[in-house]
Amino acid sequence: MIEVKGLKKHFELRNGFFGGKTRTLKAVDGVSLSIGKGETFSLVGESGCGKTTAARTIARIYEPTEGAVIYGGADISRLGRKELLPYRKRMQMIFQDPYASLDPRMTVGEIVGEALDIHALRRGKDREDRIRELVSLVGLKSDHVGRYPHEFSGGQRQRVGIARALAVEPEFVICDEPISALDVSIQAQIINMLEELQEKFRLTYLFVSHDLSMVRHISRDVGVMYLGNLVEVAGVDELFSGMRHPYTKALLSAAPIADPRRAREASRIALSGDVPSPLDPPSGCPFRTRCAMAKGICAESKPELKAVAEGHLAACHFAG
Amino acid sequence: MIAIAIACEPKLVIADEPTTALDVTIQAQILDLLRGLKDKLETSIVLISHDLGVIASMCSRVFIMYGGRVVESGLVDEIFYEASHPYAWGLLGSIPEPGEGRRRKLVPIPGSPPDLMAPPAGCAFAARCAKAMRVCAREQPPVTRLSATHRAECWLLDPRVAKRPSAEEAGL
Repeated sequence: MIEVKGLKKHFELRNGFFGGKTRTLKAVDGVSLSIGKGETFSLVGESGCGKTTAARTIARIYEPTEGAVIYGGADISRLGRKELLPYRKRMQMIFQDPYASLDPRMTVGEIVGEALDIHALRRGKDREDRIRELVSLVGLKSDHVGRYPHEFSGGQRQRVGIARALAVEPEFVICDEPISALDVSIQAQIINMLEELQEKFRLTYLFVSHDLSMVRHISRDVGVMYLGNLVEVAGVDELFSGMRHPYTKALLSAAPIADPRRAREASRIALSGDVPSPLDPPSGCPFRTRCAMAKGICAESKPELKAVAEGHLAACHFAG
Repeated sequence: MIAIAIACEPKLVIADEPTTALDVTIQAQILDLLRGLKDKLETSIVLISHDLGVIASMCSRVFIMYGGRVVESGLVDEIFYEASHPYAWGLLGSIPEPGEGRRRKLVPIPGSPPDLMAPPAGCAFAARCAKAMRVCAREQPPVTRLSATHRAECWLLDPRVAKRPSAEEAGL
C-alpha cells in the first residue's frame, strides 16, 4: 500500500554568520520499506537515529532530499502543494507530545472540526454530528467538545489528537511515539484503542517508538534504524527471536524485562561509546565504531540492506 | 549527576526516575553503574520508577504507591508473581507480556488517578477498581500481612470476604 524507496533527508547547516562552508546533516540516509494495507510497521532505534525524521519525511512534513514515496500508485515525494492535498487527507499523523500538538486556544470541537474544514468535508449540522461521533469514537464524552486542551489529562489529550487524525477518514496513520509521554496504565488504554480503530477501519500504521516491548506487541514488521540508516528489517517474531545485526542484538538485549526471574537470567550485550555524530558519520558501516565484530571491510564499504532469510533484511557484512 | 550523588560515599542513594528520559542502551549503562554501587560500595538504593522492566531487573523489594499510600509491598517476586492488590494487577496487566508467547490484549486500568486535593473517603483506588465493594468507597482498607515480607491494603483480603480471587482469576 505504501512503498518507500531510498528515502534521504539531509539538512544543510551553515557555519558562521556569513554563510561560509555548509555542512550536511544526514538525518535519514537511504531508507526503504513497504507496508501492506491494515498492517503495522514499526521503526525503532535510539534518539537521533532518524526514525522521527524518516516518518515526517514520508508524511511530507519535511521535503525529501532524495528517494520516492509511492502511495496509491503515485510518487508523492515530488507532488506540489495542491496535488498533495488529496493524499494529505488519506495520510494523517499522531504526535508524541499531546501537550504541544494541540492549540491551547482552540476547543476540542474546533480542533477536530478544523481538519474537516481544511478538506471541506462537512458543513453545518452534519459537521457537528461528525465531530460528536469522532469524540465518542475515541472514548471522550460529547460534552468534552466545548472544552480546551488544558482541561484534559495527557491520555485524554492524546485521544483528541487521534480524533483529529481520524476526522478525515485516513487510510494510513503515522504514530510518532504516541504513548511515550503517558503513564503506564494510560499507555495500555491508547494502544488498545489504536488496535481497535485499526481493526474497525482497516488502518495502516507506521509506528515510531523506542519502547521495544510495545513494538513487539503491536507490530507486524519492524525496522531498526541506526544513524539514519535502516540496519535490519523483519517480521516482528523473526526479529525478536532471530535478529542478525549486531546493533539489533545490543538494542534488544538492553531492554529491561518486566519479569524478575527472566531478568535475572538475561545477559546483556554492552555497547561501548556513544552514537557518532550524523554530521560526521564513520566511513563504511555506520555501526562499526561500536561493533564488537567489526573488521577491515566494515570501514571500507558500507553494507547493503540485503535478504538474509525470507522477509528478513540486514545491513551487515557478517549477517549472512 | 551520579558522581555528585556518590562523592561522599553515602550509605543511601535515592534515584528518582534515573533513566526515564534515556534510550535503552544508555539506560542499561546507568543501571549497571547503580548495580555497581550496590555491589561494590554496599550502597542502598531507593529507586523511584514507573518502568516495571527496570524494577524487575534492579530491585529486591518493591513498594507500590497509589493516591499517596503504599498499597502493596513485598519482595520483587512476591509483587510480580503473587500480586494481591487490584492496582498491582492493573499495572502488570497494562504492559505487554515480557518475552515470547502470543500477544494477549492489554488490560488497562480505566479512568485516571484521583484528585488528591479532594481525596476519596475510602480506598483511593476504589473508583477505578473492577472488584470494588460498598465498603471500599467508605472506609480505608486495613493492612493485611500476606507473608513476613508481603503486605497489601485491600478489602478483598479481609477474612470476611468469602473468596479471595487469585492473580490468575484476575486475568494475569
